Amino acid sequence: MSIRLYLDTNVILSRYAPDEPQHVEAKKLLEEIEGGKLAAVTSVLTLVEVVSTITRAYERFTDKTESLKREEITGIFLRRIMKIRNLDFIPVGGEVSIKVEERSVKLPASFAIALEIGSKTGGKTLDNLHIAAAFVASRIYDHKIDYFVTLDEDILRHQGEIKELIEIKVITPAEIIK
Amino acid sequence: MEDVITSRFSKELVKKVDQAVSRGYFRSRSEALRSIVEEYLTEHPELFLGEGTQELLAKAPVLSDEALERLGSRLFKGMSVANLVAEGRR
Repeated sequence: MSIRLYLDTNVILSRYAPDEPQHVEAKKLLEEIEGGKLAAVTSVLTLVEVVSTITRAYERFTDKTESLKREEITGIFLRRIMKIRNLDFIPVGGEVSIKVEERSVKLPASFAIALEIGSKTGGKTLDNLHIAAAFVASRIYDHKIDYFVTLDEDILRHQGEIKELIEIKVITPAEIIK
Repeated sequence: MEDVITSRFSKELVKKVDQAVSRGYFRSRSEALRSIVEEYLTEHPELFLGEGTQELLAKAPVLSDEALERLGSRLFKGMSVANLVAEGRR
């Protein structure tokens, strides 16, 4: 496997959302990853986002014929995503200390990187944490990432700055599945 | 308030603790053991977490990808998943 991707939460969930404009591409991408044609990583943060996104979708869900309860639906998605073959989950990383005068604060490595990214791009906190996770995967866990695949409009808007900061190209599923 | 506890250690372990004390890392055996226990507990938060996530997974039925896609189709009907995820990041 020569190409390794970082998958954003929205790409993974789009595989199960047929109304999503890039559903077909997201589905094909996940099939290629599970089939071993592509390698992929994502942050453990994705699991947290999956749960909160499914829960919010359920709150707006109006189909009264659905027999599955909210927690069951959340668990079903969580289980499936945790079992995606060839998708590695990147931990938040070991702790690093940042100092200001006599005070020292310990924080996970990816948080320290997200802090730096945030100061340069002005991106949203969770966007920055995903970008930091891709950087951590490449630099700390030795999973060289070729592309950061996302459907997030803000991340896509900042793709030039992100490429400059972490040396990873930001693209959509449609751009990789041609 | 402090409690005194009695515990058995192997000779090898005691030797290592004494070595750390004699090298000046700790002032006494007591301080060494307190510090080691505290550090271990800080590094293992899982010892204090509940089983919530495991229960969530255990209760969830297993669905095929086709069935999960049908469920997603109903759940996300009229919604953009990308927007829904982005909304959670605002």
